[in-house]
Amino acid sequence: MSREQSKHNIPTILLVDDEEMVLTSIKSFFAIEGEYNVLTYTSPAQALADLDQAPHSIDLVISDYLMPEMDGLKFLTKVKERFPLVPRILLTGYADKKNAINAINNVGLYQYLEKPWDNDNLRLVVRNGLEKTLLLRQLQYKILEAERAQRELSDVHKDVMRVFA
Amino acid sequence: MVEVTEIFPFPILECDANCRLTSINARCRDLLDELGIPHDQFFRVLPSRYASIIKKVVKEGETHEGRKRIQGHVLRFACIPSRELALIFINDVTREEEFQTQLIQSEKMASLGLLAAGVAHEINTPMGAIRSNTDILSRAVRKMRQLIDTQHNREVNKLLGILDEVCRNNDVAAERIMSIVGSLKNFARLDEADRKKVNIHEGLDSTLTLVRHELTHRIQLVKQYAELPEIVCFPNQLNQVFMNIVVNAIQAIREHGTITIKTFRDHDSVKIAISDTGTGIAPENLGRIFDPGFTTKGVGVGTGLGLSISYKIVQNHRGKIDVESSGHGSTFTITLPLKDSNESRTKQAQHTHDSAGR
Repeated sequence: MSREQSKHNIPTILLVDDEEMVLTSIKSFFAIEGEYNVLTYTSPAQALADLDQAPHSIDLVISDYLMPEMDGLKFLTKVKERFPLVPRILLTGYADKKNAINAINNVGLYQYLEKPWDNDNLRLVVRNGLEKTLLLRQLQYKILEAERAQRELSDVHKDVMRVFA
Repeated sequence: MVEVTEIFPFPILECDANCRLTSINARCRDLLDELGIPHDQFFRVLPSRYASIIKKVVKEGETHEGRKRIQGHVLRFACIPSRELALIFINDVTREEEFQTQLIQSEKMASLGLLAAGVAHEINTPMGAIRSNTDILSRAVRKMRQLIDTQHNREVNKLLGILDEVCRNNDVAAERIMSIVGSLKNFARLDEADRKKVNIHEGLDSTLTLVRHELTHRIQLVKQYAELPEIVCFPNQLNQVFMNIVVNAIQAIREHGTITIKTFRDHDSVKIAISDTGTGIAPENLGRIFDPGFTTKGVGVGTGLGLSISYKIVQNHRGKIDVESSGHGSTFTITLPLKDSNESRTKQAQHTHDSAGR
């Protein structure tokens, strides 16, 4: 995806929290302050099922930690298996530093936010995360482009060698 | 008979139907000496009903079991008939009862810590939503101001003003809740059951936040904190001491009064003086306030454990608590040494480990 393309695409955030009130609040915030499309789920399992249906539409994931069917770390690990490049943010009311360090190391978290969260901070983290996604995608695109160019070049090289041989 | 009881490893004494001492063994002599009671005066310190109890034991062959607190010792005794006399077996259970008291209190603190952590966690999610929603509301108001020509629509302008005010008010209220939850967590310090270097003013302030509702209007609080170095201690235990003394101070003030908390450094120790302008402690009670089970608050209000536990905690920190009291109020001064010893560290670690049960 090029920069030109992404300007016209609204980034999509996947938000999972078993508490409806958290989903409503964050969704409302981004409706008023961001140009993001926010998909909300109270069930991490349902979120994963839907992700498998539409794999390319997610740019960033925010998840709660303590949820009845699956904890946030397990959920984010599964997200990572599917989309290693998508930044993952843990939003937790369970303030525990040991937990946080574990999470960052094992799941490769992009950020760890504590409840009650600050909207400005959340927006900043999300904006930077999306920027990171974009840059990574551009980088990946550039790498692919470079590889293609190299292949072409090597084809040219072969042709040239054939001519002079 | 005398020979057997003499070598018996429990305090035993023997008397006739009129409470006249006929025999006493070595252990019992030691115990009475320790309590400062002349051997033949033992029955004088017992309640008067014991005269008839002993009579019944001797004449009617009854047995009797009792418990009595004497000079800070808790004694249990069993009286059994022995021919024309009564044999009284005494067991000094002071240490056992003290230990049990400490255990109960430690368990209570551990549960409070768990409760505090649980409550804090439960509150964080709805609190996050409330704070975020308030923020969204004020952002929406700002955007509406830009969209609506408020100059020509005074009613709308007024309503937006009210919304702004309400949002600010919500923020203040939310901050208050956050600070209470923070204090509760800080007070219980569940995550810090270990020895730690802390600023004791933090502990004092957390404690005061938690008793704030008791102070309002009625009691003025004066804080005179000096610059103090951090001290190595068990913060959750010291907070418990502050809480016990502050709650006592609040209860000592019948109507209006002042509680003054003063901290200062004195040579190699820090001192925390908590004074109230309450009713004071009756002189005859002054010597007993640290005894476990002693309370003047009445059933259901006091357990009689607060100060005895506080005393033990401060003692384990190699400090001391001094009390001064008159009819115009009381001052409890806690002295804590700045340097700490290895000996108390091991002892304390053991205690914490045992009592936390996890």
